Amino acid sequence: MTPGQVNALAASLGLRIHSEDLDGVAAQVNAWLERLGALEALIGDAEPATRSEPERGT
Amino acid sequence: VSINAGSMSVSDVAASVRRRSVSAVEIVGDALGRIRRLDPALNAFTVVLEGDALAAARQVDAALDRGKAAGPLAGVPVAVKDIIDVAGVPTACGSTILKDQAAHDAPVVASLRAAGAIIVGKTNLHEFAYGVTTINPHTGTTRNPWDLTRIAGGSSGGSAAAVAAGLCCAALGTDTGGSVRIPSALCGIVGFKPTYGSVSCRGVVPLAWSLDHVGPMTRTVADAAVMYAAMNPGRAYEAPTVPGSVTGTRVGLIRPWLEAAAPEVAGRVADAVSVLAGAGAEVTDIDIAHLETWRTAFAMIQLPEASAFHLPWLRTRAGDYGLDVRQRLLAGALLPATAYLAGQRGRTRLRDALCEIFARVDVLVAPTVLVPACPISTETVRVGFKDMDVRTAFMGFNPVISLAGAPAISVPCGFVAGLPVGMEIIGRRFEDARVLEVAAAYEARTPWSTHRPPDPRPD
Repeated sequence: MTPGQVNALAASLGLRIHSEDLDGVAAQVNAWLERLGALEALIGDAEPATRSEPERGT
Repeated sequence: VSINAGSMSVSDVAASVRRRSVSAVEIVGDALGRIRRLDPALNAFTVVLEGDALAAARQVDAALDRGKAAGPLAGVPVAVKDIIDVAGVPTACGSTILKDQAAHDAPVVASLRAAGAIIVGKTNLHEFAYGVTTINPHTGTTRNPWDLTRIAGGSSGGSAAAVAAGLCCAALGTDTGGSVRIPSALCGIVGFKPTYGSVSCRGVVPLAWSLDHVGPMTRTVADAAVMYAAMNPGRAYEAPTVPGSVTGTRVGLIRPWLEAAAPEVAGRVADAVSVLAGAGAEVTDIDIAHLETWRTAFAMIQLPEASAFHLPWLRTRAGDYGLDVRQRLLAGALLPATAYLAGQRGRTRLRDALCEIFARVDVLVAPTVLVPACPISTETVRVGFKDMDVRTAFMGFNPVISLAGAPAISVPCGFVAGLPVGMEIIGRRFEDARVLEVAAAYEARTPWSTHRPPDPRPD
C-alpha cells in the first residue's frame, strides 16, 4: 500500500495519520502484509479445501 | 535477623515476620529506604506507596500480636506493574491518557494482600506495555541495575529492575509476548509466565485480550512458586516440589532458537542444558518448524487486538501517545480481518505442533533473549552476524510461546560481558508445576540466583 492508500484507509476508519507518522505506519503495514503471505500459505497447506466430516453438521 | 529486604527471599521474610524475629514494619521500612536511596538512579517506580505500605505492615504486625495466623507472604514487600489496578492509585500504564484512580484492587493484587503481601508501589513500564525497552516518553526510562546505561527490557522493566536491585522482594508483571520473561532475563532475575488463563487478568488494562498473562518476578524460583500459589487461591493447583528433581525428565533444546542467539548467549544456555543433563535429564534437540511464521501469527492477533482496545483514543488523542506506540497502534488498526483470522488459525496449528512435540519431551528450553541488554540509545543490535531492530531482537521467539499459552519461566543462566542472560523453560499447558520444578532443579545447581548487582550510586 502506498502512503496515500494507507492514509485513505485510516480516514475511512476515523483515524488521522499525521505526516510524521505516515511513512512509518505504511512501512509497518506493508511489512506485516508481506509476512502474512507465508502464514496463509502454511495454513493453506495444512488444511484441506473442504471441511472435515465431523464439522459438516447434520 | 539482619533486616535486608534487598537480599532476603520471599519465604525468609515471611517466616521471619511470622516468628516475630523481625517486624513487617522493619522489613517494609528497609525496602522503602532502599527505594528512596536507589530508585532515582533506576527509575523503576512510578508511584511509591510509603504511607499505605507502612500502615499495611502495621496491620500485619498487629494481627500477629493478636495471635492471628499470618499468610505465606506476611510482610513481604511487593511491587505492582502500573497496568494492574491497586485500589486508590491511578493505573496510568505509563501513559498520559489514563489518570483515574482504581476503585478496587485487581483480584491478583487482592490475593497477594490476603496472603500478607505489602504493596510498596507501582512500577514503570513501556507505554501501555506495548514495547520491550521501557524507554517511556512520559515516565522516563528504567535503567538496568547491572549497567545504568543499558535498558532493563520490557515491558515490565520497572518490576524487573526493582526486584534485581532489591527494592522489593517480588513484583507483578504482565506478559503478552515476553514482557515478564524478557526484562527478567536482562536484569538477571526469575520471571514466570503461567499458563494462559490460570491467573486472573481482571483489573489489568489489556494489551491483547487473548494473549495477556500476569506473572510473578522474583529473585529465586522458590519465590516465584510461592508468589504463584498466592496468586491462585482457591484454584486446584498442583504445588511444585522446589527444588525439584529432573532425573528422567525429557528436555528438548529448541535448536533453531538457540542458533538464532548471539554465540555468547547460546554458549551460556548450552552450558545450562549440560547442567540439566548432569542432573539426570534426558536432553534431545528439537526443531520447531516455522518459528518465523508463528511469530507472524502472534503479530496478526496482537496488533489488531491492541488497536481495537485503543481505537477510541486513537481517534481523539493520537497525539498523546509516544511515537513508537502510536505508529504500532495505527498499523494494527489497518490490518484486514482476514489477517486476524489467519493468526487465529495459525495459533491452532501451532498448538497442534506443540502437542506432537510434547509427546516426545516434558519441557522445552531455549535462550530467553538472543542478546544481553543493549545501550539505551540503541535502535539496532547485532545478533551474531545480523543487525536486528531492538524490538525484534529482544522479543525473539517469546511471542510464539505466548501464542501457545504455554507456561514458561526465565531463569538466570550466566553473564556475558557482565550482563545477565536467561534460559527459558517451557512446559505443556497447565503443567506450570513441572516448569517450576525443572527451573528450581537448575537453579539449585548453579550460583546465578545469588548474584546481585551493586547498588547504584545516587547522582
